Formats: sequence, structure tokens, C-alpha cells
Amino acid sequence: MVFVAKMALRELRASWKRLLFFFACIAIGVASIVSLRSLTQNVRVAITGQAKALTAADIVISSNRPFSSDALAKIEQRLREYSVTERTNAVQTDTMVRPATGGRAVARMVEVRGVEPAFPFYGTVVLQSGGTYAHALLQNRGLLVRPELLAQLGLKVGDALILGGAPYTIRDVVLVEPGRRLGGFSFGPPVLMDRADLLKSGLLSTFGRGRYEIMLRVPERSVAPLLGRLRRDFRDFPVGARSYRTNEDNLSEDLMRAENYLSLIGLVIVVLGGIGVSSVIRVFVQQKLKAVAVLKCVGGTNPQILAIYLAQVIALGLAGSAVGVGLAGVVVAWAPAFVGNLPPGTVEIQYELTAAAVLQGLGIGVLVSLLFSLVPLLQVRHVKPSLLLRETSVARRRDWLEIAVIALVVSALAGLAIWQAASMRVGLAVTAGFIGVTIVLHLTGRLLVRTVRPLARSRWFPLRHAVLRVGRPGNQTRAILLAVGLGSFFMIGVRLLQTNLLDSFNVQVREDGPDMFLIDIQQDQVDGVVALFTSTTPSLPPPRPIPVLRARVAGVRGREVNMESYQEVRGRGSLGREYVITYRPTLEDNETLVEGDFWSATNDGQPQVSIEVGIHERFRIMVGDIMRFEVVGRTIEARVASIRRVNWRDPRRGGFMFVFRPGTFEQAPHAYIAPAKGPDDPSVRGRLQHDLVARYPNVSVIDVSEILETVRKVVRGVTLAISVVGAIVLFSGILILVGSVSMTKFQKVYEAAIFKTLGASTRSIAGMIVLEYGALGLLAGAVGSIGALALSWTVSRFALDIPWEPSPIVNLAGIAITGMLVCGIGVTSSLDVLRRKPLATLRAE
Amino acid sequence: MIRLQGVSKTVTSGDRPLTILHSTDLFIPSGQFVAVMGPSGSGKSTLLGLIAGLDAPTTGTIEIDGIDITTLGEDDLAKLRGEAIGFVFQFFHLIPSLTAYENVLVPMEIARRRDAPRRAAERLAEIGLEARGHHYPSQLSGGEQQRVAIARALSNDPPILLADEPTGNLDAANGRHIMELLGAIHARGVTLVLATHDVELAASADVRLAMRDGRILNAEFAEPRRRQWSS
Amino acid sequence: MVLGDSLTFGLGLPSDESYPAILQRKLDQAGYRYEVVNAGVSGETSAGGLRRLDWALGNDARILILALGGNDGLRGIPVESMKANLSAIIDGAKRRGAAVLLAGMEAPPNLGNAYTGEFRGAFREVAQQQAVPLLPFLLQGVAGVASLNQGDRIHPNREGARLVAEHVWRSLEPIVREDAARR
Repeated sequence: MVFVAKMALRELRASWKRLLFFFACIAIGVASIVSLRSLTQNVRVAITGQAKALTAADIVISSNRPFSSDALAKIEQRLREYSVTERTNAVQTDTMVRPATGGRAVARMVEVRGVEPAFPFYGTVVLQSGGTYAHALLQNRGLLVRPELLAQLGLKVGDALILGGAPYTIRDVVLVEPGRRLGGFSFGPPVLMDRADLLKSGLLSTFGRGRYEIMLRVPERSVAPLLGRLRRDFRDFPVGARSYRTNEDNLSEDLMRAENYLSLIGLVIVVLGGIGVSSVIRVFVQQKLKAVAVLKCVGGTNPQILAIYLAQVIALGLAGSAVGVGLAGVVVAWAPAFVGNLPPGTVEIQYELTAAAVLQGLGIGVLVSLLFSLVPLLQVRHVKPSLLLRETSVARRRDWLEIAVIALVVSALAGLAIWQAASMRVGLAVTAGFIGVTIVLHLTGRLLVRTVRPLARSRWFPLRHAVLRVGRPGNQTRAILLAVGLGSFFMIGVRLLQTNLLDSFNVQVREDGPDMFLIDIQQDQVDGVVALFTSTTPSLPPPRPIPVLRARVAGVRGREVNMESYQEVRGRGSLGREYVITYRPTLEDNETLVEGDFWSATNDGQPQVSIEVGIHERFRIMVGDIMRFEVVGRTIEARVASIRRVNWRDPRRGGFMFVFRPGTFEQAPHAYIAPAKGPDDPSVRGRLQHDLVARYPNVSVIDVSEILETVRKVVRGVTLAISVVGAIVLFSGILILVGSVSMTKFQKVYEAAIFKTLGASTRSIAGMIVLEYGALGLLAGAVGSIGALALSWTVSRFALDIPWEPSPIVNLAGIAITGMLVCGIGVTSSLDVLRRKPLATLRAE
Repeated sequence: MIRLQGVSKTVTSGDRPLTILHSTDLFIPSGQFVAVMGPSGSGKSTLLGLIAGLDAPTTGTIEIDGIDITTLGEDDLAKLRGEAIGFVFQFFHLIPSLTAYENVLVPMEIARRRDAPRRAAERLAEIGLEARGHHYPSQLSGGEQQRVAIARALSNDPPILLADEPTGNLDAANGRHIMELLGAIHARGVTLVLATHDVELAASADVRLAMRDGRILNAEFAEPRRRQWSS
Repeated sequence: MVLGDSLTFGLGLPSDESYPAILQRKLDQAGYRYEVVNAGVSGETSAGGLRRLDWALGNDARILILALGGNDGLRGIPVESMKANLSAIIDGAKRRGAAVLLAGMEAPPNLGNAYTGEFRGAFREVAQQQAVPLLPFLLQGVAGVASLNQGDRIHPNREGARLVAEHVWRSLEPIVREDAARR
């Protein structure tokens, strides 16, 4: 063992320069993994923090009525069982407020929440004054209100507000309030007050509608079990429980997707590095054949020699990984500059390397070095010492040991992939893709050699010799095909995935998307509402009102649907529930036609309806079926004219299960809803809302601008991160390709020099190289590109759960760029030979 | 003692088999100096390679000190080479990434000799290169490299030394120096098999074998113990 | 014709369990030949009801039960606006020769006494001005009773709907009798 270590060190001392590229591959791979891991872990910590801030507690038990003494006793018992000691109560209700001075016409509805001193367990109440929130602010009839309420009522901090018949003082303005459900359906701005005051106000008498909550701080490991316990306890009672993890909104889903994607990318970078490693080792072994023969000649055994080289690989892998960790440190330190600042009180990310990520990085670096070197290194076993007597090529035989090692390496890689991508599906997809592409590349190589053989009789010198070189024994055809094909497979795959993923994000962060929803606009008010918007914000697109009616499906093909049981009628899955319907002449951007016409040219006067694909699938309703609808007291029979698919993730135009052909409901009474983009300036926004409600009291405004802004900031950061990471993959991939391909030059250089001695012109040698490398590059690019298509489809569909669109440009560009790249590397790496006098090259060999 | 019985070697050249050594019987007693002569391609190197176990014969048995090496596996063969047979090549074949000293040291380390460092230094001193032990092969002249190669071949005191055209790549002066070294080694009782086409070098051998086209044509025995180089 | 909101529509109930459906059975049992049209629409406010009056009423409606306002209350819509809408609906019904029964609603007490008081008064005032019979509170005896409501504490369950129907029937029956006598 001492000998092995000594020999490895001596060898490294002399040949580290040749292995520098190996080193670089591992360093890049590990740097990517460690920085991605660290950043995602940082973000996850921040998101968990934010999720807790969103609920202000670990678990919230809530009910729409005061907790009965039985329920309270049960809860107390459970809290004792799980040793939960910290709890606080809150209650929430809608009420009307008006200024203490002035007419009562300016009364406004608000959503008031009463809290106790312990509130909030997580998150901070951010105040406009910059002061620190304390419960004392609420005591002695204090209120904290939202800026828009002040704008609507024309009040300022310090003014009095009548709530529940009694005066309260506005103590400050709340910008961020933990525990208020974002995006909840409410008709008024939130107000924060003391719980005791709210209970004393008389608003929550017997018939008063309120939401009662018990908020808990629970040790992390008890959150899930306690939540499950409580849910089972109160299954049949109007008592609900949720934890901070229940906040399964779009945002956290997107982040989850981004995180899975980033883990996958980390894996891909490492595998790309591994491909580089494998190319280096292959060439390295070629160069070490003589040294191996000598060692065998002086008594070295196969295990000893293998151990010497494996020790070198491990040492280099370790050193490369260490450098990678250093690089990751730099990347992570720069991360804030890339991601930018998020609004206060939302996500606060602490950027740092995590110990887990560093350890993982080191381990993976060494493991990948080993795995990708093992198979090429096994070749030293076949080196015969007789090599020293006469030149013989080393026979490449596959024996049982090599096959066993390949199986081991593949299963280790699969394990690594599953672990890194944190998903069985993704891991297996990547591994299967890797194996599949490798096999296809092998076959392609063989097929290529066979197919081009007739061309060897070509009379054009460069073509003839390019063909001969491709097919010669000991050629580099397979090595280049493998490295380039696998490289382009992963790079194009990542590009395709990125395109699809970013598309799915972009839909949500469009700046011109609606940020407020107007509901219940009456027919005769539509023009006025739109005019109000266009006069206030002439630069923004006006709201597009959508007519809505409520309808119940009464029957399909004569089948009465209201024969269903009570339970089914209540469930959302039932056809018998009330649906919101609309009518319009064309499909929206977020809809695609699955079957039928929207609408056909012929109109026989019978009402026509287009159904969503979900309705079609669940209730087996087909195009041509007749459906009976009850619409505000009339029964209408409509023929199903088409089936549409709605992209529910695109919120711009809403989604309807049933869309009618215009002509049926114009005369029917119906209201409109209008998604609208409001002004960004909060005071202009407040004024607009005030004017709107003053002029059209029945129109309600739901403002989602703040939620949207938070989502946008986070998604923008994530999008940037994904783009940057995509660029890193591309960059390191190209670097690795350049390295792998130029590794193959050693042999070519020698041959080129001989050709030159024999009188071949520089041009024909260059032509030969361009033909050979160009053909190999294009071929490898094509195989990789097709594989990438399959990979991106599988991963989008089964792991990221995003819609998949092919992007032929990425594929074609991928193939072309790969071809040109390989060709370029081939020529550049042979440049010195082309320029130098042949003898110089021959002597150097 | 080296004994070959019915040893032949056939390789595949292109698509057809090519016999590079026809069936050969040979007996070399311990301590003898045998010169194998013949033009390039006559089978000299093949014969030496087979005796050293660098190559496996197609037919026949090869005995080294009573052990049939054709029955040994790769690793046992390597062990035997390391301890019982030294080999000197025409092209030196030092490991380029190791210093002269380390090249001599390696066989002893493989054989796990405790006194390896001291003995390696002694070996270098014997060939007069103690001052250049830290140099890499590329920094040494051809003659120096070949001396290091000889020191390496002898590092484990093998009873048999095989030398394949050791002076073939050297000028006359260096060649002489190498032959003097080999003579001294033979004088210590080491069996020496030397492949060469230099008649002058072969003149001092106990037995001279003439080879051509993979066959030993004749064996010529010298007058006993005439040692013109070891005055 | 019952013009109303989700309470009338029978949200969360099979359509033959809503209180208008029960009224239909009562009419049938009592031998009156009337058809009850359920024009309840979930989420409907008085403003919406006014705008779909023509569509819903058609030409042959004899009696209009006006049961709107609940959503106006839940949303805190100004009472003046609701009063104007209710009056306009009654005017429209009268023009078509339909008799009207106005069903009153209550705003939930959490909106504060000032609003709930004003809200309650609105129905009385409208009924007086228009000289139509008033059912002071549609959910009388049902609202706030857990056993008569669904889990959301707004919508009556089967038993609740049955009680509402009884309650409406007491005010409706005299009007029906009078209308039938006139035909």
C-alpha cells in the first residue's frame, strides 16, 4: 500500500499537467453542485420562514364559530400530548367602519382581525412609520390599518374611526401582516386590533359571522403528526386545522419546480464533468501504456498498477472537488447581486455555503472521478509487457470483470442521479437517457464506419482519407461520438427544459397581467366602468369585461343529473353544481381546441356550447351531445359543439367550463366580471377604487396587486437563477467538449505530420480534418438532440409537471452548433501541425 | 538454468497467421553467457521476451530454475520477473515520470525489500551515476539512460539477465561502456542472454546462437573462459 | 316566480329540496294550479336582480316573491343603493301586473349596529312606500340555529329550507288565494 501511494504521488508530480483538464472538469462540476445545493437550501430555509410568516404560526386551528368547551377540551388534551405550550388566539370578521367625523355615506367594509400579545409567532408586522410592532399599539382602542383604507376614507394616522359603534384611534399603517391569508376572498382591506376589544364590541354576538383561530408554535417534528391528529379528531366538525406547509399556493409550487430543476441541473453538470473525466482517462491510459508495461516487466501486478492509477484519480478528484468548493464559495457570495432584493417582510435569504452541500460536493466529486475513470482504467489489465519488444495495439476485450464494473458504475450512477435529483423518476429518466444515448452512439459509430466505407474509394484525397481515418483500428471515432453525443444530449436537454420551464413562469409574471378583479358589474355599467379606467390610466390597456351567468346542468342526453345524492351535489366533482358560464366568439390565448369547431360557419339557430376537456373526461360528454342548462329560471338546450383545453396556470383570461356561442344570452340578464390592470401608484390606485365604488356601489373590487408583486419578485429571481445556471451548464459543457475533442488530437497530429512529409498540402489535410470532425460532430449532435427531446418531454411531463412544447430552433441550433464546434476544435487543435514543419512534429513525438 | 522445449510463437499479422519463432529447444545452464545473433526480424527479441515471460509462447514449455513459467498466471509471472529475471531493452524504457533513482527503486519496492533506498543508491553508484539520481530520464543521455536501465534490471539481484540489443541505440563509446558493465555482471555469476547483431560484442560469449527467420540455425561454443573485456 | 339569491337557489341542496320546490308541492297539495319558477342565482345582489327582472319575469308571472338583499348585506353595499334597486324591481313587477311579496333580510351583526339597523329599516320603508306585503325576515327562526343550517352557517339545510317554506307559505297563501279568486 505504501508503494502504491508513493508511486501515485511520483506519477502525479510528473503528469498533473496532463490531468489538469480532469481537475477542471471535477472542479466545475463540484462548484456547480455545491453552489446550487447551497443556494437552494438557503432559499428553502427562507421559504420555510416565509411560509411560517404567512401563517404566523406552525399550526392554526380555526372554526367559523366559537370553540365549544368540548372542542377546547379535546384541543387541550392534544396539546398536552405533543407538549405544545405556546398558543395564542385570534378572531376575524367583516365589519363596517366610518370616520368619527363626517357623513355616514363613506362607511367602508373592512376585514378586522383581533389578536393577543403573543401574536405573531413568526414573521414581522411591518409598519409604514418604520417603528417596531408591539401589541401595546393595539391596546386602549388602537387600530392598525392599510394605506388604501386611509386613501378611501380620506384619513391619516391619529384620526379616529368608528367600529362597532365605538371610536378607535388609527395608530399606524400596516404594510405586511403575517398570518393574513394572501389572496383570500375579501371585500375590504384588513385591519388589526386587540382581540379583547373585538370580542367586547358586540359584533360577534350569536348571529355574528366570525372566524375563530387558535395559533400554535409546535416543535418541527410534531407539526405533521399533531396536524394529522387534529384533523382526525375534528373530521366531522366545522373545525379545520392547517400548518404552515399547507400553503400550497402557486408560488411554492413554482419554487418546488425550480428546486427540482436546479438539482437536476447540478446532476447534469456533474455528469458532463464525468464525461470529460472519462475522455481524459482514456487518453491518459493511452499515453501510459509503456509505463504500465515497464511496471509489469519489473514485477508489478495488475492490482498494484490499477491501485496506483486509482489513487491518482482519487487524489485529483479530491483536490478538484476542494477547488470546486472554493469556487462555489465565490459564486454564493455573489448570488445576492444576481437575485436582487426582495420586498421587506417577504423572503429574506441568507446566502452561505451549507455544510451538507460541501460534504455532498466533495463526495460526489470523488465518486464521479472514480466511476468515470474505472472503465477506461480497466484497460491497463490488458497491457502486455511484450509491448516493450514490438509495437502492438492493446486488444480491447470485454471480459466479465469489465461487464461487472460497467454494471456497477451504471447502478451507482443511477443511485447518484436519483439522490441528486431527489426524484426516482427524474433520476431514472436521466440514467435511462444516458444509457440509451450511449448505446445509440455506439451503434451509430459502427453504422457510420460501415456506411462510409465505399467512400474510401473516392478520388478526392481529403474525403478518402477522412473516411479511412474514421474506420481505422484504434480510431477515435467512438470516443468523439460518445463525448460529443452525450454532451450535446445533456446540454440541449437542459436548454429545452429551461425554455419550457421559463415559459410556464413567464405566464405568471407578465407586467401587463391583471392585478385587480372587478366583479358584479351590471350590463348598463360596463361602459362607465371601462371609461373610468381609461380616463384614470390612459396608458394601460382597458379592462375587458367578460359576461358571466350562472347555470345549473339539468340533463345530458336525457339523463337527469339532479338525481344525484346530497353528498355528490355538494362536492365540486358533481355536474349538478352551479357553474359560471360565459359566451364569446373566439378562443382566448389560454385555450386550445381539442375537438369540434369554435364556432362552425353554419348556425342552425340551436344554442351551442363548448365544454372544457375536464368535463368531457369526467362525465364522458361528447361533441354532438345535447345538454340541458337551467339559466336564471329558464331551461336551455344546447348542442356540444367543441371541446377546449384551458391552461389553468395562465390567469390572464380566467377559465370557464362552459362557453356558449354568442346569440343565446345577449338578451338574458347577466353581470360582468373584469380582470383589470390598475395603476401602480398606490394613491392613484386608492382614488380609482374609491371613485369606482362611489359611482357603482354594487361593483366590488378584489385587489391582488400585492400578492402579484411578491410572486413576481420571487419568480423573477428564480427565473434569473435558472437562466444563469443554464448558461453555466452550456459554458461548462462546451469547455468539456473542447477538452474531450482536443484530447483526441495526439494521434492525429502525428499522422498529419506524416501526410505532410509525403507531400499532402495543408489545405487537403485541413479538408480531411474538417470532414472527419464535422461529420462526427453533426452525427453526435443529431443523436444527442433526439435524446434531449425525449429527456425534456419525460422530465417536463412526469417530474416538473409543466406543459411541454417542442422548440425545433433549440434542437436544430444544437445540432448545427455542435457540428461547427467539433469541427472548429478539430482544426484549431491541429493548427500547429498544419503550420509547423513536419519534422518538428515527428521529432517531438 | 533456462530450458525451452518445443517453444514456438505465432502472431496474427493482418488476417493471416505469421510464425515468428519456429519450434525451438534450448538449454542454458546457470552462469552462462549466451549471445543470440541475427538480423533485425530474425526472432531474437521474441526469444528473449518468451524467456522473460513478457510474452506467452504458442506451443512448448519454458522452465526457469525448474519452474514451468507457461503455467503461471499474469501476476505470478510478474512476480517472477521482478525477482528472478532482469531485462534490458534496446530503447531503455525507463518510466519517464520517475527520476533515475526512483526507476531503480521501483522493482525493489514492488518486491517489498526493506533496504530498498540504500540498495538503490548502491546500484546507482555501481553504474557511476550516484550524482544524477534525481534527474529524469529526459535529462539523461542515451548511455546514461541505459546504465540506469541496467541498474534497474539488477536491483533485485536476479540470477538471470536478458538484454535485447542494449547497445543498438548508442554510439560506440557508450556501447563499450555498457558491454563492460554487462561483463562485470556476468562475472558475478549471473546468467546473461544477450541479443545483438554486433559480432564483436558476441565474441566474448560462451555460446553464440545464430538466428534467421525465426529459427536457430547453429550454435557455436567459444573457448572456455576467455574474457577479453574484464582485464 | 321567486327572485332571489343562493338561499332561494338552494345552494348545497338537491334542487327538489330548495324552499321554492317545497312551495310548489304545497301549492299542488292545496289544489292551486301555479308553477313556481326558481329564479335564485347565487351571489346575486339587488342590483343584479333589477337587471334580470325582464328576462326572469316573462309575461305570465302572477306573483313575485322578492328575496334579495342578503349579498348586499354581506358585502356592505350602501343601504340607499339597495333600497332604490328593490323599489325599481317592485315597480317593474307591478307594471306587468304581478303581485309582490317582499321578503326581508338581516345584515349579519358583525357589520355593526349602525349598518344592520339601517339595513333592517330599508325593507320596512320599501314595503310601506310601495304598499306591498312584507315578510320581515326570510330566515326567521332558522338563521343562527346550528341544527337548521349547513356548515357555512349561512345556508339552511333540508330542515331549515322546510321551515323557511312554511314561513313563506304563511304570507304567500293569502296572496295566492286572492290571485286565484281574481282569475
